[in-house]
Amino acid sequence: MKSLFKRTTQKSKPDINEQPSQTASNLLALQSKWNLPQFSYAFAQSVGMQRDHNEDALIALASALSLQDSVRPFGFFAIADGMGGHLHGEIASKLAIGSITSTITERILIPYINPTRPTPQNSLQNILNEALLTAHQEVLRHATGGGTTLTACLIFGSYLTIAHVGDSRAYYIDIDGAIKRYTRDHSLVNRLIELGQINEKQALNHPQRNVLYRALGQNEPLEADIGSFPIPESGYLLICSDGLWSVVPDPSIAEILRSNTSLQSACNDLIQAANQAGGPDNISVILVKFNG
Amino acid sequence: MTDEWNKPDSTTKEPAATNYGTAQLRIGSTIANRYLIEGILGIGGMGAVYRARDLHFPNVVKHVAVKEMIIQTHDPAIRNSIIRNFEREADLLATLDHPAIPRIFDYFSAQDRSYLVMELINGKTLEERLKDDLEISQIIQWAIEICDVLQYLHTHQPEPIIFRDMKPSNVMINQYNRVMLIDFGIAKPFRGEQKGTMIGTEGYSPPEQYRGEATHLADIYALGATLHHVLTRKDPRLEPPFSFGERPIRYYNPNVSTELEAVIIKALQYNPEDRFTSALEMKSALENLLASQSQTQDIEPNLSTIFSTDVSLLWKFSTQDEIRGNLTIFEQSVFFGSYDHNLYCVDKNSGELIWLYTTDGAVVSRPVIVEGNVIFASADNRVYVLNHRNGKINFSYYTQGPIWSSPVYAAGHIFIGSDDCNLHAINLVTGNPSWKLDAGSPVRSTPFIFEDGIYFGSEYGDYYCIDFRGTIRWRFKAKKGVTGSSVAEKNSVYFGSLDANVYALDAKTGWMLWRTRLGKATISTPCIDGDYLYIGSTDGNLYCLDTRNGKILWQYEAMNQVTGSPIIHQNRVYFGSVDSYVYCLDGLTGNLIWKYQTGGAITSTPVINGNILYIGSTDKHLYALQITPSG
Repeated sequence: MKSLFKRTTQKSKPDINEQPSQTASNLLALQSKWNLPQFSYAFAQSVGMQRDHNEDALIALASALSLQDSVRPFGFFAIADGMGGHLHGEIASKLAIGSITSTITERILIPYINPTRPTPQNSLQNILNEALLTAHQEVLRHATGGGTTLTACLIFGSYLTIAHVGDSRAYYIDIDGAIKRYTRDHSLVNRLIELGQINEKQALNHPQRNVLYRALGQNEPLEADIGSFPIPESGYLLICSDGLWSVVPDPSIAEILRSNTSLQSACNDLIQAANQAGGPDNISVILVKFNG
Repeated sequence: MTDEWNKPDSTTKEPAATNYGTAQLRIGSTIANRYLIEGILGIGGMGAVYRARDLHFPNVVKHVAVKEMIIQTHDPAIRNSIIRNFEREADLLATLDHPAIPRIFDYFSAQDRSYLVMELINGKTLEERLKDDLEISQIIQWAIEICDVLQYLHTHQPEPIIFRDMKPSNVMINQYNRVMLIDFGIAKPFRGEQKGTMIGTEGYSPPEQYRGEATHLADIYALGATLHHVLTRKDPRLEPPFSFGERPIRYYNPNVSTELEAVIIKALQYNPEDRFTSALEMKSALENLLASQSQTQDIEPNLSTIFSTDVSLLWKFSTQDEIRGNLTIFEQSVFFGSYDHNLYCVDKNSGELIWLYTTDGAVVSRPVIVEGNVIFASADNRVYVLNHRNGKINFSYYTQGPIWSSPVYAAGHIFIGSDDCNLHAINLVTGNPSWKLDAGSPVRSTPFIFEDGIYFGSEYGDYYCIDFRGTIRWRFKAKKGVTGSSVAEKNSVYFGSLDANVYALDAKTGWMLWRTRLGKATISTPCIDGDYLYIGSTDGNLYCLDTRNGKILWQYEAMNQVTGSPIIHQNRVYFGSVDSYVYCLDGLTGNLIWKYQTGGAITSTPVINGNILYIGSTDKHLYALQITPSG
């Protein structure tokens, strides 16, 4: 192709009218800290006022790995609320928690802390999903007839990844007490609310309010809700079973967090509030505080 | 596997669910001194279904299906109720006489097991047939036959019978291509008030069935749900109950007529009184469809949705070779390169040439305007820095290979990849490199700056996050090259690869959050709008993914590869395809709003400025299209 303009083929002196506002020297000054979000946590559990045994199970697993560049936190928090008679509920929730935690440990935590292991060529969401499906199979196999909810939160890197089935919940509560739900209940009443057939108030007294359309241990193909959320700079992650949220309204939860200085006392107060409201079910609470 | 298959009582096919310690009958064993077990047709939660030979006919081979129910409980009340249910199924079947209902020959109990001996159906369930390509007219035909047998059940004397369990796995298509209903065991008792009750929702059941109020209209709903599944291939058991309305049939299967969709929508109404009043009524609606469909089959769908008034040619600018790269608009000018070696500066309103600058190679790189300079690169190995007003050169910078990447500017530096396998950081003031990073293979992707990291991929699939000093923070390995550029949102970087995956990585750690496989390789750069990510693929589709989990929300099929990148503007997605068209889709639904044909394949990315869309085509023209903004 013939050139129409005579071209300068040599590197010529720059002829820049407006000087670039940033120079090479401040390029280095731009280096910010490559910090990852840090957190602290607490949990509490109660059998409630009307049950004689506990069908809830929970895990709180946290580690901090300090390497040359940064402190890298890892957290895995999960609650399972079992159901089905003849101890099957208890077995189901225990199995689910044990199974998913084992998978996460083997497939995420160990490769992460062991530099000789290659980074898994699988996505966090996929690993979490497979871990949940493995737990589902375990429940099917060893707690036939039982079932369980499972809400599992993985804090890793700059993301909070949540896998969820059932009606346990994960909330985000900011420092001003504004409360937002990460999870969607897989309950019949929640579905009816979504369809505009009933309202939240009617749901609380609906005869089928305890009916779930998805749970681990059911003889159905299981589809978990999986999502990743950037870890907030501040505020709280609250994971709880319906023993808390069905009797303690959102504003009271936020108020308890606001009025407590320690995470543990906040957890204890949440349990107490549920029991004071009748404690109709087992109550499990995990509270994670994000520290920027 | 055998083609013969009678389904067991439960829907599950997970062997895991059957580990009761109660073994299946051995092949070769005989039960009731009459039925020689020859094979297992299926395994369910309550027992298996066997294929057996009836030994009362020693001179001929007569096969039957033997359905087994294993009673595991020792509670006598539950035990009796299970046996009663089983007997009821047997009694029911014995009173029914319809070609779509299997005949029953016998039933008996032995020890902890009860058996039904039935007609063996040679065929496959509709669930299994979901793997096949099914003609819509065929599906309608089967639906008509199902309506027919439902009508028979619903008008049965002395009592109407509600099937209650209509779903693809309970419908068999026999060797004569006729429908057979199987599994009359049902009437899953609904346990009421008890805390923590679970319901094994089939996903096909209507709302009233959860309240235990099923009438014959429940079967109508479940048939609607079954047809919805068959036509959309979206398994309702994986979705929330009563959510069919959120998955429009024609959206997943454009070959379905609006009339057929309307029939199914009517069957799926939330309130029973809004559905068809009888299976007979639904049957005639389907028959009418079949009659009219044969006449209208050849009409091309979709085209009616294109409104030519939505787009018109404002001007086009002719170059001497293909335009494959992307353009930049700055002030009143459009800057773009061509395979004719030139960089052009054209008046964005009139399409008049302002200046051009000729290099020694094809210009594919997208120019960037910084501090009065237009910066771009050429396949002649060089990065050019020109005065953007007159095209006079300020300096050029040599790399050791052709450049297909585009420059980005940050922190006083130009960052650009080259086929010399390096990422170059060029000081814009001095024109000298501050550093080079060896990426191990050609870098054709355009670097992406996010917060204080530089993200780019190489042709061998290495994906890097480096800081402004050129230090690698982390490295990720895709299976094949990463040619497209990245986007970032909320701490994640997203990019596509020649390995056909779209990746979402934690921008700080490089850990994969999700990946989603497209039909074929992609070199398109994704764009993001809220929770939606758009990306093209060489499989000919433009995909819309959920950024939170990578799920494909919709895909739009162009007539050829989509190698260029989409852009989003006022909730609409714009992109070009190798099929020569520029497309405008609704960003939410993927519905076509308009398309505009150029004279050649489009590999570049459109830019919208004002109400004008600019895009280059391999027909050697840059197009300026007047578009109508969305309402």
